[in-house]
Amino acid sequence: MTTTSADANDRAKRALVLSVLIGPLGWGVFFLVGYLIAEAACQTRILHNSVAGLNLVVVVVLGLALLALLVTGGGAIWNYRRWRERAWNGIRGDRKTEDLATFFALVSMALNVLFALAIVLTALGMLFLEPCQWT
Amino acid sequence: MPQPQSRRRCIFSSYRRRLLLAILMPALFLAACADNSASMLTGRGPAAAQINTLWWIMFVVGAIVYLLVMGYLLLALFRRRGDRRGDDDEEEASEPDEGTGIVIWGGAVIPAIILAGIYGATVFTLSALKEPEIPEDLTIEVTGNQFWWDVNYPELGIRTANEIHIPVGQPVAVKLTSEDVIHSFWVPELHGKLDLIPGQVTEFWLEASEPDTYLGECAEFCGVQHAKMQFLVIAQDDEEFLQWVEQQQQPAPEPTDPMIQQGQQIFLGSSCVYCHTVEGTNATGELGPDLTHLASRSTLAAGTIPNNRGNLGGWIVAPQSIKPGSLMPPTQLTGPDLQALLDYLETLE
Amino acid sequence: MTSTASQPTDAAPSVPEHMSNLKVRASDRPWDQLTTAEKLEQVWADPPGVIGWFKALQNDRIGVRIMSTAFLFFVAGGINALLMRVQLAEAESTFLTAQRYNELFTMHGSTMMYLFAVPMMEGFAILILPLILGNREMPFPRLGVFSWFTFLLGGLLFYSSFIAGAVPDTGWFAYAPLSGPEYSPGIAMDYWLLALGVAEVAAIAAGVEIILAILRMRAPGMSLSRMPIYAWAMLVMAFSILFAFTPLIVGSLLLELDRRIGTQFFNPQAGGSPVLWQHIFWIFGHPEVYLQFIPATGIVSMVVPIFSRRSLAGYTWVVIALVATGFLSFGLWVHHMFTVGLPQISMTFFAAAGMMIGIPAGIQIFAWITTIFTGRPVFKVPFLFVIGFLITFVLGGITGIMVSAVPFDWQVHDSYFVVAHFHYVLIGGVTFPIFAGIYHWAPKFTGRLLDERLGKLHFWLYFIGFNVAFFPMHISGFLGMPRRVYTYQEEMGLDIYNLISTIGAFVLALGVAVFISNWFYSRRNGRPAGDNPWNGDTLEWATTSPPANYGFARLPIVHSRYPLWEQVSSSGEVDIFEEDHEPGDTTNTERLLQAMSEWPLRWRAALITGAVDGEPVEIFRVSGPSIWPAVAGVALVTVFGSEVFALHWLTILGLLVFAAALVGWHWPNQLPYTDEEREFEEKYNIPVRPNGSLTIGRWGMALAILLLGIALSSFLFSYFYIRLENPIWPPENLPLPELVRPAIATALMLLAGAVTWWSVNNVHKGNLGRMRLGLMLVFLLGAGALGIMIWEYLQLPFTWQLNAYASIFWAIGGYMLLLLLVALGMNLFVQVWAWQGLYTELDNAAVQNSALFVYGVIAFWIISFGILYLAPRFT
Repeated sequence: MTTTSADANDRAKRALVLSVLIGPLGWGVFFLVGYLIAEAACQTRILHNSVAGLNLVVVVVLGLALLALLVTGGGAIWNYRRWRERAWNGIRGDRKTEDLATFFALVSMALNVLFALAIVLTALGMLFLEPCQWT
Repeated sequence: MPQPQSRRRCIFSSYRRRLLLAILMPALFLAACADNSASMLTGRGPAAAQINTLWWIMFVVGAIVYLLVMGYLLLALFRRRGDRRGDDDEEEASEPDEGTGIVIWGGAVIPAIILAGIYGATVFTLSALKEPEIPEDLTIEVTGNQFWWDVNYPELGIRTANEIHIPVGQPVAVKLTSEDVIHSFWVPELHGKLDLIPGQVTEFWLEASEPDTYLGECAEFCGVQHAKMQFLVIAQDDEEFLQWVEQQQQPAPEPTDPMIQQGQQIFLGSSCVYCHTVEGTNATGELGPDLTHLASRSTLAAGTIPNNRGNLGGWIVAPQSIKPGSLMPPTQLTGPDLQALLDYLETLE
Repeated sequence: MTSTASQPTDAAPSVPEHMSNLKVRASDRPWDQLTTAEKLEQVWADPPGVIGWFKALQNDRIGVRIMSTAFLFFVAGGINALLMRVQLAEAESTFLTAQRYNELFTMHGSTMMYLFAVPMMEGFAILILPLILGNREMPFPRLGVFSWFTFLLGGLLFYSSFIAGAVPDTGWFAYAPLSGPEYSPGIAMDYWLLALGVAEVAAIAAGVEIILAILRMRAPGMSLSRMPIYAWAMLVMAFSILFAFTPLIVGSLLLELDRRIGTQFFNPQAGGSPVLWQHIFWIFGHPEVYLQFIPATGIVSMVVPIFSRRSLAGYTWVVIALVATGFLSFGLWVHHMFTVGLPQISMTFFAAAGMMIGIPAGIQIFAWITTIFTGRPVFKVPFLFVIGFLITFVLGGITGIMVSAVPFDWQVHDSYFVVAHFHYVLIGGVTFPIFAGIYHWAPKFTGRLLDERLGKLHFWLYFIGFNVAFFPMHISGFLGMPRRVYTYQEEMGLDIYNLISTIGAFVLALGVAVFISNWFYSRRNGRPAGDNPWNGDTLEWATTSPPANYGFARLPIVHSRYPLWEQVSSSGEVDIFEEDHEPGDTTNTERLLQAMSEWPLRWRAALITGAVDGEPVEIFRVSGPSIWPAVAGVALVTVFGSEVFALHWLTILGLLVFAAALVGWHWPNQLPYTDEEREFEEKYNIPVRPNGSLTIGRWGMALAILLLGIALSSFLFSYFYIRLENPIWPPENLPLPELVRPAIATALMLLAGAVTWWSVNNVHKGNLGRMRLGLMLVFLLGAGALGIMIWEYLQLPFTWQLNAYASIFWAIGGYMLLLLLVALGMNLFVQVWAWQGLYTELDNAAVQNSALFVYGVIAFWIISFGILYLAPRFT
């Protein structure tokens, strides 16, 4: 059972699972790195200059947010395409998400959208707050 | 808990609020009025009022959402189901995809919009609370101890305990830290809480809109007598506040009455001085509350009992029966010695 | 976890050794005269007798044991709560002392969080997963036994603090410094840290097993897109357990080191930080709540469709919600720290994540209600509990969103409002589904239905009691009642609400009492259930009630999400043994499963399937009964328990027994690879592994490495957090760490990695001599590195007591050296077996697994020593 086509099949399946992780990990990395940068900057008073009226910490974290949005947004669009392809051209009707590829495309797409929203909310909030104001 | 000033309030003061609450708590809201409660919903400081607004927004939205969801549930459970009766399930199996649209719209899209709105309100409130409208010109340092509060006014040279006097209508900066474990500073009627953490200083501000006595509590579990670690915030108009400041800045009066002198000798000769300070005497201990103006305070043992002669005597002789686990040790005194000591302590106004 | 290969069944000619003295149910007929089913029953049976009781490992038995133990702790925690409620019923009550009250709320919270909810869910999973997934066993039955013994004994150790008169009293969150050496002298907190620590090990062990069961042991055809929602929920939960409990164990270790050997992690006077404890604790503590709630929703998603008589609406969306909840739950920990004084920018991360969690919750709630709406509900007891769940959980969910609004949280944090909120979520959101699940599945395992009328009485008492008890707490919170107070003053106006709460709590308890009587009553008098009493759709309902030891003689084939509803043959009968094709054909998988129902009958065979598509991958031997997991469990609890009393000699003895038990546990017991196997492999084109599965072993090892990596991350998080607290690094004019010795040791480690690779390569080529040589070289290189680093640490100009920097430097180094020691130990045993000629070109799982571990250790080594030795140079 170790023919090359089986291997390719395995790889395809692994790609399915990994595609699910794009959204959560995009958000997760943004979340952890952004949070740690923010906390570190506010504790040590680095990154305290301001750029265009925004504190440098905020600028850095917003940059990170933009990057993460590109990943999750891109993931959403890519998976939307995969999903549409499967759902409209392939299996039809109520059975369509029993098909693995359709299922994972939909799951990945929704997760990407959800986590993109989380990133947007986080970033928007920052614009209105004093970053290193304690409390 | 003594009653500093008699007052009667009701958390659900307005008719509108009562009505809203009545939706959820039919049997309970009538009883929701209480004397001397420390209700966060009274919002008697600008910060608490701001937070209240956020709460009422969320309450109204939350109540509507809850009622709609429950309505949907009731409908789902009890709606008439035309001719789909009988046990021929196999034939009648629903389409697996039936209802997916409702799940997406009702479960994801609409909630996302509502939640984004609540998040906006949160950020707005956070931003509004970051500093008071006018800058503070008074700083109060509060240090948490198991199980009492050390209160220090560095600019005014005042040190007291378990009682914070503030001028009404003016924000004061509050700097918090702890001598031992983590405590939390909470005056529900004025603001949310902030922790007192050893090795760190946390900072926020406090303002009362009307003169009154507000109950403060420790809100982080800090040991055996966490429950009896309270304090009072006394908001006074400018004149009264300045009077209080002047009084507190005086050192303890040197006694002239021989009975009181004897009491002072008993105090200075006892173990009291290891832990307590009385300005102007040799008593400079710092483990317990500063007693220089003990008699001017309205409670003893961090809000546990009213400050009167009987309670004070009981507290000195048998603190462990009043507040078991308190770090104050009992003091053995003969009857006359105790009376003399109490005479002296009562002069510390 | 490393090699599951071993199992003490013997290659004896007729009856496997462990059952030679078995009282054969089908009389004492000789082996060859038994029917196939009877043979299977015997192969899968637990051994009899007292010793057999300790060896027993069947998943239904272990599952029931874990669940009943968890239920006992539930009752114990409930009694704690009732005592507290009596105390709070009136103002200034003297029913309990302050100290006793603090002990009770600590025990109540800790019991419910550590000893009830999570084990209950894991027990549930171990009990029903193999049937729901359509396979025969859990992948590591012995790990289940170990998990149960450690859980039971750890929990009993925890409760023995009442006997010792040293009951933990700092809350289930044990905030430093209150829980530290200065403010909690005595052994009470050691009880908390060590006894619960060992119970957490049990939770992780079961978590690993659950992950592998779901990913690799499903019925053929059950692809991830057809897997029952319950399995999805348990998968998310089990991963969350690894990521949540591991940091807690590390945190507990650091706190215990502070208490016992004078490290300074949480001491602000020496550069440590009490807030670090809060971070570590809540990185565990917040997901902890979700990893109780997620499996609860899994149960709900199974019960709702069956009692609505339609499939779940929005299956895919529910999966999305579960996965999203799992990830989001790790971005919420600062929710519990909004009042510690954090920069505003940090708040946005957590407030936003807190809002987002409302979306997956909304999806699930709408999926359930829509299912009911479009179905035809049947109001049986399990369904009633689900309705109770919906009514209470939605309320708790809404107040949950409220508390993630930061400023509002400043008000209600640590007030009774929050107490009300999380009891709505945990009692409403978790125990209602648990009871629903018990009423739902108990008939499958007892063969009898639980009594409906008693069940309804139970439900109404529980539901009304719960709301009466907890709704008023919202109001007492608003009125300024803080959490964890043993009393309150009359003037605060709290009496009436507290009195109502107390009355409600007793009604709730009465409900539980009715449940217990129902259980015992129905065990004798309940109506016989039959195979499928509720007309369920999933595979467990296809077996007999109670199921046979082996679950399925012939494994089912799945080609629908609702096999029992939709896999109907042309004659209208349920057919779960055929794929979706024209009648008359047979496919390879069908032939394979048919053959597997009759062969092998000498060993416990189960099927490994593809993680994604659920296609058969290999047939392997599940390990059989052994005394060693129980011994290992007892030894581990002894290690932790003796540390409570600082009996170090007993600790060491326990460690030795534990290590010996691990060796015994994994002692290879090879079955000969005969012609039968070879023939079967060729005929059905599937590998047969009578000595354990390489796949399962590899996945188990990968999960173990993941666990160790999570632990390492927790150490490194602590390192950087302490770094932030200290403006100068290293603090107190300590010299920068020297590089020479660690550089040499690292070079040796890299070399060891290369040799490992060479040696594994040779085993694939069948060059066993070179493999042995390689193993030996690896051992020498590793031992060299270990020696150099020990020398290095002995030369350090500071001990761990100096300050927090020194403490974390020693802790991370110690952790790394411990890992290296384990790798060397593993290598040693593999080597011994290798020189005995145990491994062959095809059969060498242990060699490969230990190599995997070596690679993991080297990666960790480079990261941790890189940071320890290089990071101070860059600041």
